[in-house]
Formats: sequence, structure tokens, C-alpha cells
Amino acid sequence: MLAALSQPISLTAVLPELLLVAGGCVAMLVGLSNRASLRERTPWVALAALILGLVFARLGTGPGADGIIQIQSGLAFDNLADYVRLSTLVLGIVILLVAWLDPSDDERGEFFAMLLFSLTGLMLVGPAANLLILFLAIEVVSIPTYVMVIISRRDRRSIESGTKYFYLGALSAAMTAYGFSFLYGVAGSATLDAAAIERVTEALGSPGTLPHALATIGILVSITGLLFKIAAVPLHWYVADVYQGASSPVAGMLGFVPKFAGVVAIMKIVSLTGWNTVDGGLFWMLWLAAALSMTVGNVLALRQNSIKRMLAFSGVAHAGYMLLGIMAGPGHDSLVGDGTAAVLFYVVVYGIANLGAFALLGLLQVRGAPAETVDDVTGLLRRYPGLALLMALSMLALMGLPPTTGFWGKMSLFGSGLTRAAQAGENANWVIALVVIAAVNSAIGAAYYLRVIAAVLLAEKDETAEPAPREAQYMGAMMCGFLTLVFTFYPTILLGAGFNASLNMRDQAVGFMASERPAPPELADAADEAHAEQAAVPPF
Amino acid sequence: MLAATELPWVTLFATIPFWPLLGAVIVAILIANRQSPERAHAPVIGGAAISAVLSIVMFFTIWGQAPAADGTHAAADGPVPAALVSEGDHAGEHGDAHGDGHAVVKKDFSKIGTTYTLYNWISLGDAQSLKGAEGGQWLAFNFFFDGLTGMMMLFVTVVSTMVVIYASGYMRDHHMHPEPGYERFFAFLGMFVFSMAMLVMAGNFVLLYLGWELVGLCSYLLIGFYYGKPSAADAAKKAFIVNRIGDFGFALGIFALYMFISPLAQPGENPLDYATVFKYADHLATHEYAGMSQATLVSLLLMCGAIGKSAQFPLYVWLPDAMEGPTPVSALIHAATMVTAGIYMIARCGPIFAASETALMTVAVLGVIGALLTAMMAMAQYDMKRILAYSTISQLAYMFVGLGVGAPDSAVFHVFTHAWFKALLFLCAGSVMHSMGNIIDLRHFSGLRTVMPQTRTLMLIGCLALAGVFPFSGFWSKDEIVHAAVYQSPVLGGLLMLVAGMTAYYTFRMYFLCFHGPTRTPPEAGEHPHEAPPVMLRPLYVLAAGAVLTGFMGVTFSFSLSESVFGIFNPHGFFHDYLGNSTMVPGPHHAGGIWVAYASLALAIGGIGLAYVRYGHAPQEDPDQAALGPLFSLMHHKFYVDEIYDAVFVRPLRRLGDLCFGVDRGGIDGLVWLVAAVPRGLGGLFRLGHRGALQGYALSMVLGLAVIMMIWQLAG
Repeated sequence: MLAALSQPISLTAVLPELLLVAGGCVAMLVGLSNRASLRERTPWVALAALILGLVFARLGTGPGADGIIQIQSGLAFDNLADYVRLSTLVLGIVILLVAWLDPSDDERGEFFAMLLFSLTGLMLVGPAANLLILFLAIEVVSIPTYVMVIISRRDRRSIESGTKYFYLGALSAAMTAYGFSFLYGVAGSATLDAAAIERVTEALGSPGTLPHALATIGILVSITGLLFKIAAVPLHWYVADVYQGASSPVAGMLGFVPKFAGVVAIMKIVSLTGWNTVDGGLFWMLWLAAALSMTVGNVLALRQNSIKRMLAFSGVAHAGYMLLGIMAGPGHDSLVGDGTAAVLFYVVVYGIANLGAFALLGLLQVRGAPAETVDDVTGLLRRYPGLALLMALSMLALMGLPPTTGFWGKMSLFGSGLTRAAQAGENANWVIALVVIAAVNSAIGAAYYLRVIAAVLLAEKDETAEPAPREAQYMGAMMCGFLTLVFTFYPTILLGAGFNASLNMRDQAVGFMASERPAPPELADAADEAHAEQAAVPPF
Repeated sequence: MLAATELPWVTLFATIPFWPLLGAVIVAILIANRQSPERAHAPVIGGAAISAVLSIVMFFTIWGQAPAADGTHAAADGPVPAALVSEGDHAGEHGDAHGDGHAVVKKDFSKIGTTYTLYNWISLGDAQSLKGAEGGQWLAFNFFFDGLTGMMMLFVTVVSTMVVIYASGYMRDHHMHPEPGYERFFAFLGMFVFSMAMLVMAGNFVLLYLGWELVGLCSYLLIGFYYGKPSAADAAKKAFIVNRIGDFGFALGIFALYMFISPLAQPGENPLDYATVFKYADHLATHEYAGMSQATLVSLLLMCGAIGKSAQFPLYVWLPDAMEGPTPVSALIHAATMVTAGIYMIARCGPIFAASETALMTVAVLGVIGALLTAMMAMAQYDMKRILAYSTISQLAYMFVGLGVGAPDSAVFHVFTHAWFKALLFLCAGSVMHSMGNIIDLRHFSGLRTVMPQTRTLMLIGCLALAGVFPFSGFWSKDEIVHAAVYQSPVLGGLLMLVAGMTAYYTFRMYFLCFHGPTRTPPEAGEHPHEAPPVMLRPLYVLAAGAVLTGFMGVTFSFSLSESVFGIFNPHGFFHDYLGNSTMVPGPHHAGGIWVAYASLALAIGGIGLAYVRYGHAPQEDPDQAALGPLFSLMHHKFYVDEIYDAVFVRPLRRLGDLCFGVDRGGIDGLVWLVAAVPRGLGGLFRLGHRGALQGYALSMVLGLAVIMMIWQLAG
């Protein structure tokens, strides 16, 4: 196991990640400086690290230029890694802008260092091709977020919610680790490669044997642990308390960074089954988790008066939609057939819209306190039309109104679900039922998003919230709006990138799909072409 | 035939629609910042003017670049009389060619026009487009440039600019203070010009539909501009709803096209692009769907849209009511541009329509019914704007007949000339209305020739053009349609000639009632009614010049008594060569039989003479009312069509609506309440679990894991 990790790896391959770690260390030092003027520069250090990271991520040689992905030291730099890395860096810059003035003076260093460390973890989840590395990467994502929740708002509520988040996170990490150990036992190695997939699928294919039980337990328990990261039922309990306890920028970040890490990690675990997601325990688990997440999340969000709690619960619902895409799995060579591409697209556009909403909430002040309830943002259009329209745009995208990003995301998610239903055999009707549940839930979701939109745009109120004078945060919110608009009108940039990113997972699924339904020759051709073009088509 | 695949400066021309939009956005920003409305017209006038200049340049660029049209036409760079004369020798054959629409469909439509893609908008889900690779299929945001585009854009933008300038004077009170909503009006107008340009320049059916609906929206907003007035609000709703009926068919037509074309389209061909659709038009003609040829099905469905938008029988009822909007709106949207969108669309889809005899015949028959019916209604109205509205419907019906008898180029020619003189007439009527204190009923004033001499002259030019008197523009274009109709079917041609006479009669009835006889003004006009201000008159002169001169665009000179008017003016000239290279299937020359032109001219002059005898002194008592009695009353009440629609459609539907509402109230609301109550109740229940206790959360998580393991056990 350790031998696999001790292979040499070129440092340039992880240069962006190293830059972020170095930037975090420098930020921590600068934040401790005696001079206030220097301490105020801390976010600039983080920004420089992120931009440098972005530059080197683009300058470095593309992954697998020869089409062959090599696993080195438990890291496989494929298109998925590239997708995760780039979207993390871009969104990281937006998060940084949104959180620019968030921490208090004496905690800037820690705060921005933690942010960078967390982003580094996310960037490592993408290439992780080893159970150990994957687990470590997820923990590198998570542990800084516990700290950030606590130091983002120095009051009892944030300490309480941070503590809760930490303990429950530890519990879920324990579940994940436990599940991973089973998988290690079944696969015989910690490397997530074709051999591991073969052994796990073989074990799953022989019911009644010990390997079958071990493999199933391993898959189910590790995915259950990872559900915590994406805040899906039944591990969603922390979400509202933590979001409410954290400051708005940190809450916005929690809607993207851990969710993205969780989604990618779940996909990597599901890959071990050869994407056989439509029967057996895995199917029922994904089905139930998806259906319950959507329903519970939306139903709870309906009752909230606090927008932060509402967005927290709606995040649970969105996790449910993503689970639907994961269940659909990599499928056809087309827009509406590939669940993994849809999930990768959705998690990013959801993250952007969610972050935009939280950024605006953090920006708006009501009598000195950040806005929180629907009442606080009522009548915003009259005084601050720009902010009001940004808020409406974020809400529309979250709601999934055509032609916003949310709509493209949901369309591809639901479409992939329906495509998968065609191959789901006896469970086909259940898959269709899940898509119907998802559609009904989108409608329920519209109710609470529209409530905010109506309050912001239509209602009038004498005293409206005032934006705090925070240019960076304003810029971050604008960038969210801008990115949402870009992906509204050019969804295929990101969707196509997600499609390329899921290339390897498509290959992993081929074995299973071929046994169910032989792939038509033109699809195989297209897959070959995709191989050839993998390096030629940049994800952004 | 040479392929017109590259157009110089195409990128520049692709910006044409966006200038007025920019103007509208600037006005919207002014509104948002609560600026004074005083200068609100400037950005929109500027935007429209830039578009107009660019459109003029585009018109000539397309002309200069157009290769020779199809075989029946001479070279494009200048008329060659000899060729036309030789065409005339085969006049008899042309008559035959009419009977068989297929004979003309021999153009290679895939090589016509330039498609300029701004960006690929929506992927159609194939692998290539997803990867952003070459050869993908898209719903692109693209524009299409050919002769038809150039011709339409020329008058759309120029007439719009004139109307916007006029409106900056019209939308003010007697002290030249802007009316309330002045800035809103100009924002909508800018938006309209943008939408219309999008409609005309669209390079695929979805973008066409987008422009189509956008102009509908602008029309709705502008008809209901005086939304405080119930009649205006009702008229706006009526226009929108009646158009919806047609648009339903239109949308189905586009769906059908997609269904038929997408299996044929090769990689890299966007299935709904004009270029692709017309390339496969032959396939539509030879394949069947639901018992008729695919071309017929698609044509009839698309025609529904045209019937609604271009106010054709039986969906014309919204247009007269649309006159509730401010007069510049009536002139621009409901006479000159938007209502011609249906004609444009059918002309654009020439390859599809030409492949279906049934569709062409339906178009022609509906057209002739509408032309007759509304001409009769126009003869018994007193509201100047309504008379003009009915005449618009009647003229649009003329164009429909032109399309139906296989002469779409003549129909587009009429669209072109009609835009100038009808805008002129409406704006003159508006100027009268402005001066008369918003009174437009012909029974309340007369003899205005002394009060408004300039308006009177301009109006006379417009009336002569509408009546079709030589050498005004209406004469040339109307004659071509009559010509084509006569060769298609003598009955059709005869009816059209009758309508031509009626048109001259009611037009001049209006003119004499307004400007002749003793000077009378209504009390609302104040003590000293006055001529319109220069800002309103100047654009009228431009339009008047158009009304006089544009007819000659369709004329070449040749010295042949048998096929030229007065032995000099030969119809079917430049205009047809210009359009010959567009997607439409041009009709053949109708040279020879020039007697048709003389006959319709005689009818027009006869109509004017009759009007002079009966109304030349602007009698207080309407002589027609006395003479025709109940028939007049029937015509005055528009044959009670609105009432019939009300009884047959509106009231039963309303009753059905009441019934549904009752069911909804009683039954479904209860269910919905229940549906809403269940999540709320559940929410309350779930919230019990969210009390914030850490141990409780942890326990729930572990229980959740346990449940998942149990499911696995159960699922096996």
C-alpha cells in the first residue's frame, strides 16, 4: 500500500497546490505581523497565490497528453483533475473576494490560510487515485472549514456551530475511513485503478459470499460518510445550524468546497462498482438518499424565515439532485445522457449561484447587522437596483428557471436520469419515479426562491438594507452574477468541460454497459475521438 | 449560378439590430435614474438612425454583390431591356408557368445568402457540439443576409427612424411639454425596432420566432400605452390573445420543421437554419405526414402565424382595435412594419410554400376574402384611423394573394411601397388628430385644407399612392399583384380589381370629408387650430418622397406599347432582380397584357371620381348611408364579426372558464391546500429533529447509516 505512494512524482505536477500551501503559510505569517498596514495585506497574499496557481495550472503541461493516464503517488492527473483544479481556483478567487473583509483583524492570517488549505484539499480530491490520498484530501478540505466557521464570527453561535460541525464531521470521517478499510480489503490495494474495479465488481457480482458482503458494506458505509460533505440526508443535520452560525461568505463557501469534494469523492467510490448503480444496495441507498434529500431539504426550506437557513436546507435539496445524476452515471455521448457531466456542471453552477446569494446577504447590513431574513431584503429594488437584480439572478439560477444555469443543470441531470432508466431493467420505473420526484421538488423549491425574489423586486418598504462599503465583496458578488450569466448563455463551455472530465468514468463504466447493452459503434468512435481530443480541448 | 456566400462588412451589418436596443437601454437607464424625459427621444432616434444608415449601406452592398438571378432574369447590374423584351415574347408560357408552382422551384437554395453566426447558442445535444468541435449541430444565434433581408431592412429602419422623429413631436402637448410616459414610449419604440430587425435578420426559425414574439410584446405594450384607458387596455389584450392563436400554429410549424429536417441534417448543419431547411425543401415536398405532404403541413401551420401577425381573415379583428395606441405606433407597427412580418415570413419560406399547391391556394383564397371584406368595412367608417386600419388589412390581404398566386416578389414589392405611403397616411391622420384636439371622427370636422395646407398636400400624395394612381408607388406594386392574379385565375384578378376600385373610393371619401367642404373644427381643437410643427412635418416629406418614388424601383424603361405602361415604363425591374437571388421563389414576368394596368388605373380613377361626386363637398349627411341603408349599417358595424366571435368563441369559453374556476375553487384548491399543507406539516415534524442538540444529530446520523444497511439487507 505504501509502495504505491512512494513512486516518484514530479513536483511541477502539483505546483499549483504547492503554491497555495506556500501562500497559506505566508498569509499566516503576514497576518501575525506587528504592523496593521501589513496585516491588512493578508488577503492580497492569498489572491496572489490563487492567481499564480491559476497561471501555473494553465501553463503546466496538460494532463495525459498522450491519452494515457498514469497514476503517480496516488495522484492521477486526468481531465477530471483539471476540471476540479480550474473550477476550484476560479471559484476560490471569487470566495476570497467575497470573504475579503470578513475576518477580524487579529485572525486574518489564520482565516485566509485556512481558506487556501481547504482549496488545496479540494484540488487534490480531483486527482486522488488512492483511498488514502482521497481520505487525506477530504480531511484537508474539511478541517480548515471547521476553523473558518468558528473564527468567521466571534460569537457564541459561531463557536457552537463550529464545534458541532467539527464533531459531526469527525463522526462522518470515521464512517468514511471505516468504509475505505473494507474496500481496501476487498480490492487488495488502495489504488483506485482498473484492477481494483475488477476485483470490487467481481465481489459484488457473487452474492452470498463474504467478499460480496464486505464490498457492499465498504461501498455503502464510505458513501454514507461522504454524504456528510454534500449535506445529503441522512447526514444533513448540521447544515442549517452551521450555515446560520457562520458568516455569510463562509456559508457560501461551504455550499461549494465541501460539496464539490464530496461529489467527486462519491463518484470515485461509485466508479469502483463499474457504475453499476441501478440494482442492489447501492441503488436503493442512492435512490433513498436522493429522494429524501430533495424532499426533506425543500420541505424544510419552505418553513424558514431566515434566508441563510433556507439556503442551507435548499442545499440539501440540491445535493439530492446531484445524487440523481450520480445514480444516472456516465452514460451516452450526448448532452442529456451523461449524469457525471451533469453533476460536475451542476455542482459548479450551484456553487456560483449560492455563493452569489450569500455574498449579497453578507454585503447587506440592517442596522449594523448582516441581513438574514426575507424581511431584511424587502424592497431592495427601489434603493439598490443592481444588488436587487443580482440577488434575483442568483435566486433564479438556484430555482432553475429557463434559461439560467440552474435550468441547464437540472435539464441535464433529469435527462441523464431518464436515459439511465432505459438501462435500469426491473428498476426502471423506480428511476423514472425518482426523476418525477425531482421535478416535483423543483416546483416546491420555486416557492421559496420566488418568495425572496418577490420581496426583493416587488414589495416596498420604508427602511431597506444598506450595502456595507466593501468593494471586494461587491466585486465577488458581481463576479458570481457574471459567471452565472456567462454559463446561462454559453452553458456548453462548462458542460462540455464536465463531459470531457467524466471521460475516465465513462471508460470505467464501459464494461458494465457493454454487458447490459452493447454500445453502438459510433459511440465507441466518439469515445476514441474524445480520447484524441482530450488534450486539445481545454475545459475552459 | 454564383454562390453568394461571403458578404463584405457582414460583421458591421450584424450590429444593425443592436443600435436601437442600445438606445432603449440608455432610455431605461435614464428612467431608472429619474432623469427629465425632455431628451429621452435622442438615444432612440440616434440608434434607429445608425441602423438606418447601416441598412442603406447593406442594401447597396448586397446589390453590388448579387450575382445574376435565376434564369428568367437579366444580369443584376443594371436592367437590360433587350432581355426583358425577349421575355415578353413568351408571355403565354408565363401564364402556364403560373399554374404549376413546381416549375419555378429549381433553385439551389443551399447556396443562397450569407449566414453569419454570432455565436452558437444552444447545443442540440450531439457529441460534436458538446465538445465544441467543428461539425456540431446548434441552435445558433445567426443572421441571414440576402436580397430579401436587404430590402426589408431598408424600409424597416428608415421608416422607423422617420416615425421616431415624428413621435418626438407628436408625444407632446400643445405647449410642447412631453406627455406623461414620454420616455417609456421611446424605450418601447427602440425595443420594437430592435425586435423587428431581429425578426427580419434572423438566420433560423427559432430566432425568427423570438423576434416575432418580441415585436408582439412591443406591440402589446404600445397599444396599451394609455393603459389607464380601458379601451386601450382591452385592445392591447385583444391584439395579444388573437396573435397567440396564430402563434400557436406557427410554433407547431417550427416543431414540425424540426421533426422533419433534423433526421436529414448532416453534421455541421443546424437543422433549423434557413440554409438547411431550404436545402431540404424538396424532401418535404415528396414525403408525407398525416395524410398530406410535409411541405403542406408545415406551410399551413406557418401560415397560421402569418394570419395572426399580418391580420388576415379570420384573425384580423385585432388590428382596427390596435388603433387605440398612439398614432406613431399605428403608423410604424400596425401599418408599415410589424404587420408585414407575416408576408415576409411566407416570402422567406418560399421554397416550402412553393412546394405545396394546397398552401398557396389557401393563402390566396384567404387573402381575397379578407381584401373584399375589409374594403367594404372601410367604406362605412368615420374614424380616420380605423379607415386606414381596414385599408391596411385590405392591402395586406392583397399581398397575401400575391404570395398565393406565386408572385412573392410582387408581394414584397407591395410591402415595400405600402410601408412608405401607409406610414405617411397614418402620420398625416395623426397630425390632423393632434391639431383637432384628439378628435378623429370625420363627422366632426371638414374643410381643413385651409387650416393644414401642408398636411393636406402630404395626405393627398399618400391617398393617391394608396388608391393606385399612376405614377405613385402603390400603382406599380398593386398592378403587379393584380397582374399575377389575373394570369392565375381571372376570377381572382377580377375581384382584386374590384377591391382596387373600392380602395380608391374609400380613401378619397376620407380625404374629401377631411379636407374639402366648409371649414369646421371641433371645440376640442381650441380657437386656432394650427399646422403640425416642423419636427412632425419633416419626416412626412421623406415618407412622401418614398410614396412617390419607390414604385420606380420596380420599373425599367423599355419602348414597347404591348408590355409597358404608356409605352415607356416596364414593370418588373430592379426590384425583382434584387430579390431574385433570395430564398423566395420569384414569380415570372407578367409582361404582355399591359391592359391589366390600364384597367386597374381606370378603376382607381373611377373610384376617386365617384368619391368626388358623392363627397367632394363634405356633406353633413352621409350620402352612402342614405343610399345603401341597411347594407351601410351592416358595413359600419363590420358585419358584426366581433359580435359573432364574441358569441361563438368568447362567451362559451368564458362560461367554460367559469366552470373550470368553480371546479378549481371547490375541488382543486382544496387539494392544493392539502398538497401545501402536507409539506408544511412535514416541515413542522422534521423541524422537531432540528433542535440543535449535538448528540441528537450524531445519533440521527448513525441511525441513518443503520437504516441504509438495513435497506441493503432487504434489497439483497
